[in-house]
Amino acid sequence: MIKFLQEIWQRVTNFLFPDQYFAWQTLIYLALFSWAMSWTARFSGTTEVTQFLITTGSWIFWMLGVAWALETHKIRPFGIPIAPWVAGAILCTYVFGLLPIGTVATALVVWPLVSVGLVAIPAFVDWELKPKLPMPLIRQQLILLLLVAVLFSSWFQFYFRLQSWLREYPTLMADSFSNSGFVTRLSAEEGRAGGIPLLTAVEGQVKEELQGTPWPWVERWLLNRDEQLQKIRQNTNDVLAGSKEAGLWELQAQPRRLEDEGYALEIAALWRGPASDPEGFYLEKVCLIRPQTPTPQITRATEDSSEPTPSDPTPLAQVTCNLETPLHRGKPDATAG
Amino acid sequence: MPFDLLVEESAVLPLRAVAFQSLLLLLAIALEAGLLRQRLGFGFQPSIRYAATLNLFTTCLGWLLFLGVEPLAPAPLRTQIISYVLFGRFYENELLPSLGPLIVATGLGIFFLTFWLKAKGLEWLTFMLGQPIVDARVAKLPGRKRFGDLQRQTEVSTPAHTLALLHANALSFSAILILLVLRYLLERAA
Repeated sequence: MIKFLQEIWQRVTNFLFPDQYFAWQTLIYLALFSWAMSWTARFSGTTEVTQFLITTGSWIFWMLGVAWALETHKIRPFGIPIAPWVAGAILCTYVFGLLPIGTVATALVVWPLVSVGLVAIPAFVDWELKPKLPMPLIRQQLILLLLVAVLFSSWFQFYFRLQSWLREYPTLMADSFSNSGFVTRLSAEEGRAGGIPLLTAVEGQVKEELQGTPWPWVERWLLNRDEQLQKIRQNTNDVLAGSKEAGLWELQAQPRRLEDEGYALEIAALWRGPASDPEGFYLEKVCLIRPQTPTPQITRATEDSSEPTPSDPTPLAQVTCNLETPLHRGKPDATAG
Repeated sequence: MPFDLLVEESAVLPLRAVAFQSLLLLLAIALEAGLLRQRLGFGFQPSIRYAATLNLFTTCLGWLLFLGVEPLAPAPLRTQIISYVLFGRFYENELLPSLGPLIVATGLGIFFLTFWLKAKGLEWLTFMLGQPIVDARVAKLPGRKRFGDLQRQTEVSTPAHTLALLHANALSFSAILILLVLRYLLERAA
């Protein structure tokens, strides 16, 4: 038992304190030391430049130390020497994550190229920092590695391009990508079509124009609804101003006469953009517009009941809209009326 | 933060593009390496290395071209590209009738462009590796014009590697086209 513990102790000390100074542990210690020093410098109120220099030194020691450790211990998952890739990742994290330049996107895009650069430097420069030309086979491998890195970088860029598309056209997120030959959706979460806020804004406009207006006015409004809708569309344009979808949504409205008095106004927002369904889709909001005879005011009635109410008061419009905006395939029925 | 970026915002990853592209690249490299070995007499390993380098080279240039040109395209064309990438189909807008000819023309253009790039690329690559496939000095050597020179020139004007690469490119493009058509038909049937 004691012997076993001794052996473990021996291994740990060997790991932490190598026999010679020319080892990766030295670099890791240097990194830790300069990291501690950078905090000391920060607390003792030195200038930004000093802190920057010490921190940079710490990160460079850290990068070289980790790469060296991975290389000497021959840690190669799937036979890939990962040392330059890890070193490149550390360098990119430092440059684009901690310095005030670039973003995560630039860091990811540049990472493969930086890693290839780290592989190429020792091939083109010898230990005395004199330039040299590597053997033809090494040159061929470096060219291949560079091309693979550019391909990886393009894939990362394509990923970020996809995200910007989905930001510009948020309605696309509400659709299914199962037919795509390019992308996979990992989350089940569906997006929110841009037509929903548009229809909500339209509802507000319609209520503003019709609520409490005399009934004949409502009927006239419904007769030239296309013109009115155009006006509403212009007023509600700023709802979609955040995206590039404004030109891809089209408004249509069909009034349907109810059995009792009044109309059901079916307002449809048609999506004229890319969709997984060849027939496209539209969102619909139904607003009920009913005439309502204004009730005589109670206060007046109690105060002065002898005064006769006007014999035939004009009915006023009462607008109520459904909260939900169901999604339908195809196009709204033009014949409904 | 990177973590948010990878989980919430970006549930949409180009995984299928990566998988399909890797497969198609492997196929093209295998086919072209076989043809280069047969036609130009390279060894097994060099022909695979050359084919891999050339195909990766043209693929990378294609990506850079696409990523550079896509933001500059007019909005109707951009939305058609988005539609194809996300939904695998084009949608109805004012560009739809002209898309067919446009795609055929683009495909032909890409074919000849990649052929030219591969021919030039092989010259550059062999030059960089110190075994140039075309000897630059021969072409510059001034010679006296003799009878029959014209005929001989036309005979040798197409170097063997250019011809081999034209065939290789045609082979890999046809194979990829067949695969794409098969995939389309299978999806139609499903």
